Amino acid sequence: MFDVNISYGNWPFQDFRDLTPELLVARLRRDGITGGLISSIDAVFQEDLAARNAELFDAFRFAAPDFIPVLTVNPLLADMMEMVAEFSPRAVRLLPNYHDYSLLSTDLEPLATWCSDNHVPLLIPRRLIDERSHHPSCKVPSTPIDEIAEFALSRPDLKVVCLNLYFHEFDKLGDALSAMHVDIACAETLNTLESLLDIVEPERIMMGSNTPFHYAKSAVMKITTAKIPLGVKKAVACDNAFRLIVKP
Amino acid sequence: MDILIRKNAILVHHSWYLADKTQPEASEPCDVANLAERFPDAKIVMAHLAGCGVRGVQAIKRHPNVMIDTSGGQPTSKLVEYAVRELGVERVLYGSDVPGRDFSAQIGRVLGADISDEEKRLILSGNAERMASQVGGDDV
Repeated sequence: MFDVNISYGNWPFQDFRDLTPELLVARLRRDGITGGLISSIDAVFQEDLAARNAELFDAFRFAAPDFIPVLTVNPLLADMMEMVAEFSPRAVRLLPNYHDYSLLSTDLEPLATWCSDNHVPLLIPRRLIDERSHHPSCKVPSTPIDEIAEFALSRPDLKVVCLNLYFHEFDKLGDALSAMHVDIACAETLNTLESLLDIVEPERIMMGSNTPFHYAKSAVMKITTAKIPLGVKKAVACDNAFRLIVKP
Repeated sequence: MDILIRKNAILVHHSWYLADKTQPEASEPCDVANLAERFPDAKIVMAHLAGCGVRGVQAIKRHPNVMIDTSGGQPTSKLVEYAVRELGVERVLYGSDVPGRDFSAQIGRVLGADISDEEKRLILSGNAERMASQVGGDDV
């Protein structure tokens, strides 16, 4: 399986200090995840994204080419496009809710253009963790769904990937569902994948676990236990993601 | 509660520490702990480990008549291990929260936890089997 929603680093509300890059990859492989996109957790709260991204890229060099580091950027920082030029990422992540900007900001234009021209997917988490469990002194609203929808619809050539949607939120995206890809990390209902396929085109659904915030096995089992055609299962498990990260 | 105790039956009690306090009437783990304190002979299962969290586990720790189930919420990592460590595996039960949740994801959080196979077996079935054998009476 290829997991588009993996993170690495320090989080103030859960203890991930024992999770070295090697251990993270070993556990993912143990659970059947043989590759994925990895973003920096330290880049959520720290402003020196160049340094945090450099640490991430360095830390997972050993796991290339299966595990791919994702560049986290912030359009409010003047060095955003310098970082993009320096790292030449295969995927980029935005955190508008944690970094305090709107997806509709024109500051994102240079990045959107670069990602579109270079066929690089843009990951946009709706949230990182369940809002009900936020620390009382750190309640971060999720990225507005109407902004995600408008952002994706306005850029049909951009590979937008919305992560960590709850099952009931897919319907709210409307036409925008046909303009983006989504993962399954936070989507859950009875027979999740079967039910999701009634709402989202199969080629747009991807395996995502939200590791280490979540147990990876939960997302893995959503796929392995689903009563769907094998071809669709394989598409969700890896093929859709491979198509997304491969440049034409 | 007196009837449940007489019947040796089990009370499953919803519980969650909500980050926003929009539901003041909703039960929290401290409420379950309070109940357990008042009825030490009652068998209580506090639902929703993911929503109770560390604070919830600590709330019931000194009440041996309270177990916790793993049902519901997102599969927040490290909580199953924490509950096993703090309460003892015999006080942790698998729960699914179906039909709002998916069996696969709910089982996955137990199978994906960093605990022994025997501990997983106890959580997924052994503890419930033991508990079921202790509840009494055809008239329950």
